[in-house]
Amino acid sequence: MKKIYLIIIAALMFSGCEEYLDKVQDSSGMNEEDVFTDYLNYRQFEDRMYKDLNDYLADYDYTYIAALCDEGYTESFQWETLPVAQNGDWLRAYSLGQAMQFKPVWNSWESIRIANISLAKIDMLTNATEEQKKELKGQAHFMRAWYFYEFLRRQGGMPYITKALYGADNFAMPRLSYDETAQKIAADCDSALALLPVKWDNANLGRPTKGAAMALKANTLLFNASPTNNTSNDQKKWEAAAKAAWELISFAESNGTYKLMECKSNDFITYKTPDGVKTINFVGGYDSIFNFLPYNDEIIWENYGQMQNGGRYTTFTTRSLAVGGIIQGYSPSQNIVDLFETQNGLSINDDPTYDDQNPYVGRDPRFYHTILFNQERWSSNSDYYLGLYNGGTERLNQKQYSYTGYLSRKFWVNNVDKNSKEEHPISHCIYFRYAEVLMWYAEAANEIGGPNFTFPGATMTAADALNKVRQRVGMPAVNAKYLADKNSFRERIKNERAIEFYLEGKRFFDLSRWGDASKIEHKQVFGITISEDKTKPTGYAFNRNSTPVITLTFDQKHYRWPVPLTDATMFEEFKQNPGW
Amino acid sequence: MNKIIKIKLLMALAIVALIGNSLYAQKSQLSTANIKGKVVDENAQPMSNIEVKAFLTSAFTITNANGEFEIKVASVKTDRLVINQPGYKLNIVEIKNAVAPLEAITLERINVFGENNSFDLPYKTMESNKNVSSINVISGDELASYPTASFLESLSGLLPGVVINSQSSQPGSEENAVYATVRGESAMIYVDGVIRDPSDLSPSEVDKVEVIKDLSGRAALGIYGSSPVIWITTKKGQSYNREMKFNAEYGASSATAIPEYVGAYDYATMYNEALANDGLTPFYTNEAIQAYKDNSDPVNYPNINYLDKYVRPYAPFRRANINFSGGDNKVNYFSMISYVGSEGLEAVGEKNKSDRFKMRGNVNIKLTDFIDMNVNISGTYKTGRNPHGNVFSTIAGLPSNAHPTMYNNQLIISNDYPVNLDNELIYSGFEQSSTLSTQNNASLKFDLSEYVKGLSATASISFDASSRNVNGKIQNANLYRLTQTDGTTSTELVTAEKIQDDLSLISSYIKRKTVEQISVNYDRTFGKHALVANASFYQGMFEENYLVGYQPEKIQDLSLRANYTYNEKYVVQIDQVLSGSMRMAKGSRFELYPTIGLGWVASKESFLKDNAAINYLKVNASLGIIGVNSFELSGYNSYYLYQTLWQTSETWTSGTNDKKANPLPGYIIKQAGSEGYSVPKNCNFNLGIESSLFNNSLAVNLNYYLVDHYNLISQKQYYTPSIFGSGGFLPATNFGEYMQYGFDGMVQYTKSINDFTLSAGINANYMRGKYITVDEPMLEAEYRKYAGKQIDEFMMYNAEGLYQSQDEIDVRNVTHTFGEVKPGDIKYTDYNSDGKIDEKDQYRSGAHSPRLYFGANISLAYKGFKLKVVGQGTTDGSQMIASNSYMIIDGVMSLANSYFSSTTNKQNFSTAMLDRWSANNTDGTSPRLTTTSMNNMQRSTYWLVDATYFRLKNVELSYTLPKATSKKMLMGNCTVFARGSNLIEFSNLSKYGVDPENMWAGNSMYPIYRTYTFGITCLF
Repeated sequence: MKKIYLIIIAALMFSGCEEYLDKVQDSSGMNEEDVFTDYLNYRQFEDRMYKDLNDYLADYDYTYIAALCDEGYTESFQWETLPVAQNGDWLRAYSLGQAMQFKPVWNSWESIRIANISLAKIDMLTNATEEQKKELKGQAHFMRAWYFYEFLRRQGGMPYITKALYGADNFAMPRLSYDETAQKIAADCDSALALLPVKWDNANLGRPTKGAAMALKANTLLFNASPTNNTSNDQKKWEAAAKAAWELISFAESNGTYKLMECKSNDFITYKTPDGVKTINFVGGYDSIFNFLPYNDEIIWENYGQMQNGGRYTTFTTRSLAVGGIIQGYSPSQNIVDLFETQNGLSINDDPTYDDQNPYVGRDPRFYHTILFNQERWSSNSDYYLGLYNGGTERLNQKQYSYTGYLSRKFWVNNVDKNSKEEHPISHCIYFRYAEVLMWYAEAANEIGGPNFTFPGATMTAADALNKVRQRVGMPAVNAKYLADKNSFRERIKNERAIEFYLEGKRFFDLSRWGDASKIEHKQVFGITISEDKTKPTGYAFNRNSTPVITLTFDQKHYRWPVPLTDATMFEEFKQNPGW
Repeated sequence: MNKIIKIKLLMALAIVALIGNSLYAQKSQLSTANIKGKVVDENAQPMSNIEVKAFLTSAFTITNANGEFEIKVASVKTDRLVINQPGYKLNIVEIKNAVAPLEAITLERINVFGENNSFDLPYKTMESNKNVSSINVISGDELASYPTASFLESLSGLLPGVVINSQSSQPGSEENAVYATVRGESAMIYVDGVIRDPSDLSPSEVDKVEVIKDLSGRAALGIYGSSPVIWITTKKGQSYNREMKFNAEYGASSATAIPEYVGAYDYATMYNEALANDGLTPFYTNEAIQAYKDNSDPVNYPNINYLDKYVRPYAPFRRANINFSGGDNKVNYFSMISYVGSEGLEAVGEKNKSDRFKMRGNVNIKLTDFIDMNVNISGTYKTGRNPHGNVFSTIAGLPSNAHPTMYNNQLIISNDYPVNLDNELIYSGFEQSSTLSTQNNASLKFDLSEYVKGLSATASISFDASSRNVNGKIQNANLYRLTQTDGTTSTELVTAEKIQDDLSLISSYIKRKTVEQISVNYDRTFGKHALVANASFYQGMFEENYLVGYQPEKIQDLSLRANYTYNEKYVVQIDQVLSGSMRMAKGSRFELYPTIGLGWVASKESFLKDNAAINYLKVNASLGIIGVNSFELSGYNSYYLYQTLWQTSETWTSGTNDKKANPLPGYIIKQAGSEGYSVPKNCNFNLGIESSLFNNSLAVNLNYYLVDHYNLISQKQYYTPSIFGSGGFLPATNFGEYMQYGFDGMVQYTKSINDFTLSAGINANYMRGKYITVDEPMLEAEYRKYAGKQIDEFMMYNAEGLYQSQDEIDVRNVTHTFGEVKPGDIKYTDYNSDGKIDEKDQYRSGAHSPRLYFGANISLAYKGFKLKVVGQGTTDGSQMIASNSYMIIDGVMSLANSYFSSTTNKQNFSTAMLDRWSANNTDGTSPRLTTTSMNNMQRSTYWLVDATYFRLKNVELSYTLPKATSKKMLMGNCTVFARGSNLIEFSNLSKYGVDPENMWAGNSMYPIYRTYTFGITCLF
């Protein structure tokens, strides 16, 4: 009774005077309506989903994926994360400072949320054309698939979130299997494929296209078919991968959207020997895939936003002479150097012309585009020869100099002033390029029927596809001795991927999906001892090191990255990966 | 303001006092009649030496041994006799008949607890019998003995449950905060019914300070009374009384604690030792160390004791005030003018300084028979002057061998230590602040009993304003660096002189506050039934302009209270308050909060009525719920959590050239508005007894309390997985609960025998708290969780001592994750036995804030002499004397943990570090020195020090002239006194050179002051 009385009094006194407590209007007056009804605002909201694209070339990234496999070695300048990751303590690496390969990729869930909100709010949009709506939806489907792909190839299967979660929703979601997740990604790619344009206008370069959706699907299915993720060697998975890859190849061949960068020019390098300066001529133009041009027809999907950030070093690029010696944070390994075939199309062990005391002559042209070796000239206007022998100016056993006897040349082009501190190339951070699609097809087709197998509906054998990539740099077709069976051809595909995609963020994941990463030959990263010896052809003696620069830790559990501890310990349903 | 002006001011105050006094004296010539009378106490015993005043004639006299007196009065009709004896109720006696002797005048003693007391509650003064709340009271006059510029500080140790924490005593600094917590919560402080900063109050203007601890007493304040309230009322004039009181004191302040730092020789030796321990090459050569030892080269190898040179032992403290109060049957007034000034301990150059002037006028006017008007006006003018920076924290970071201060009359700095104290204090300018503030109340009280018996109403408004300007100069002298060429020392200029001619504005603010209140009261007794009812409406706004986009803080609530007493014994009180929170969305702002209180005056029951020992016994209980207004979420720009806010942000740039130059922003949610949250709440329970025993000589008050804080505002981060994809912006929701519970109470014994009076008491608060639900990882190991644990525990490692040998480390064979471990490093327990010392080995234990606070007071009076001592202490708690942040931020670190974190980050070392572990000193109290390993810098039991302390907060020795003597000097009363604050402390922390109340005071913060004064109080 009393309470009713009170409420009546209260109602009388407060009716009409509650405004007293109103918030004083502030200047930021944007609300949901403003954001989602206007096309430009809507697009600007959605574009935030691109922010989590991982930049595997980034200079500020101290956990280069390339330093966690046998591509080479680097030591971080200041952060503690890289050694922890190299040591295999990935769970701990999540919690440390600059763990770019680790925690930030996991943070992509925010971009997935943006994509989901964007898909859900599309009907609020009032002033957009149907075409514009399709583009917005297509990009959202694609980017959602992309981030799940990033998780897939690291941690494996995830709950496939297709709507923005809110407080009342059940968060205790079980993780899907690897295959289930891969199928969901493929389905999102199909949706995107139907909505995205074949090409964007110049103002929108870098947004995903139909081709990008096809590539993402093909690569996801290839991952799904690979030994680590396909322990029963289910042939259907290989067939799906081959089919998806071939769809993109035939799409590209039919309308010319994608093609391999042509390498028709001539290039040369010089190097110093006791007999004088010598020159090696090789096919030029390969470096243009990665540099400068705003776009080229080989690139299918890249992190274009990063490229737009302007000139930057990557740790893989050599820096100027001006500071008294070449500085590079990264040292290519002997492991990789040995994978470059001789120009005869044979591995160095199979080619009798190969001289291990004169090892840099007569190699695959991509070797000269990729690796800087001892006494190679590296200067545009003066005679400066790299001192990569032990004790040389570029090998002082210090951070930023070479640990192995090599520096990386990839992502550099010749017409940049090598002496300048300021000028350095802008590299495309490419996720998929056409050469890789050919090799996906080659790999999948070989697994189904061997090197000479042509997938039904296709017009190339596995070997044909691979040879296309070799031929554009002037390499002979795969030698017949490697075409005996799918096993020997598989090794050539692996070899080809290692050198073609050197430092392109592929090898770590390749070794992982093939189940090779835990093998000792891939855990030990070697350099080479180079000492002055006038009797040798180059004036230096080469001795293979018995001690690796580093032995990485990669055990069975590392085939699936851990999920960060907070998530692994939050709900029983969200399981940690085995071994972590 | 210079010293001469201050002295003049004090003299002027004294002259005003004397003139006023002589005016009174003239008036006393007008007497017309002689009156005889007698003063007795409650037991009809005559009272001697009691002062009796006549209102109109201003004549005064003193009772003789038989309690008798004779006095001249002006007129039997209009004059009144006034007896204002401390400790007794004010007695105003009408003189009806000039011829016959007066009836004996009985003085009623005021007991700490008893029936004739009353409490000022919000909107209503409540007789103690009807009160159901747990309240402790102290009068303003009792606080005057504490020499400080900060009012709250003078409450130290006096009230149960109230903890006063002084952070530092830097004069003129706004940051010189003193915090009051009551029962573990930060107190809401009201001055004359409005939330106000009490720091500028002078004890002489304060009538009384009440601490309203449980909810029933403060429920009417709504969500602005959600934590215990300190309710301060200022003085009013008394009818038929006229008083002038003058008080002046002067004294000196010094620092309670400053660490002692090592000299150059020790510093260099220790640094080399640290490097050697790390296998690194020594930094100081043997020649350098020798030079430090024998002081042979003070230029290149200086050894400077900065504390000697830049810190003076004492700084002056001054305080004076003069009050006039009085009134007749129409108008009452109280007015005050006061001054307080303090200075810093800098020995050279600019000193910290603060001067504060304050005045107050409180007037009550009876406008008509049924309308009273009350106006309270006060104004404060404060000036402060501060050097840039804090000399104590500078010294804490500057080793004594850093560089000479001066060479060839040039000020010297070095690369590692680009600081020169002469430059800091003499040449780098200053900041000066002036603050002007005013607090005003006006109210009308309507007596409506003509219409409805027992009905009255009050309407009041108040407005406060304050503005502060800080001006200053930022400049520096020429600063040089020593250089060596071929063995000769010369200097080179590093930083050129910069002189600022004019002052520049550094900061300023304006604050405003307006409050409107209406209250209707009904108070009537029908036979055995007494009803007090009250309805009040409160509305207020606080604006602060120095933050852009600042939202005014607004209050609105409506409260209803009904208090029913049966037979003066059984009380039930119900409070219902409808309180609005501006932090909630419209429509859900108001909630109704109920409180019920019960009281039982047991001493009125027949079985206790005639009990000789128990004079008064009352039991109170209350239970209620109240909302909490102050909630925010970190990362959110405002506390309007219901709002979804959008903001622009950088975007992924697509496209070519135009976008590169001109990227479009993206939109992101800045704050995810929440629909599903309510105001967090407290459920309060209190059970208390108050009693007066043994002829009112012993007062006892004991309370048990429990406060459950629930529905806390949280983002539930640990219940929200990454798959949510929030990017850090989760909407607010209610989650989390903890409770606090404990006892507080006091015992006070007062006894007078002849001329000797003793009063002694203790008070204490013992509190524990427990987390019930916490937003924390669900699958976290039990020993690392908050939920179910005490709220005051440390998360730390258990230290088993120091490793004594490499063998010991090798044999143990555990992985250490904090860096290289060598003999002399702390050995941590592998709490989870996984062979690895890492964060999983931290566990919850200890208490970072003391669980028991206590105060003790004793006062002894013999004839005119009086000694008053107040102490305060804590126990059952610890301090972590080293932690990572502690280490990096300041030099105190040095006291225990400040091994070098790196060669470029050298701190000063306290002498407490001299006893460090080494192969030759395996009993060292500090671990080995190192420049690289973080092993010893972890929070662990190694650094845990028992925080128990007891400190004499306040001592006053006074002598009051005999009344007969002071009467001859035309004074009612005259007292000379010596006072002190923070005099002595007993603490485990003293050996580290830090203050037990604030470890940072005296090193990274300004010290806390120990002050001694002497002075005089005259009452006319």
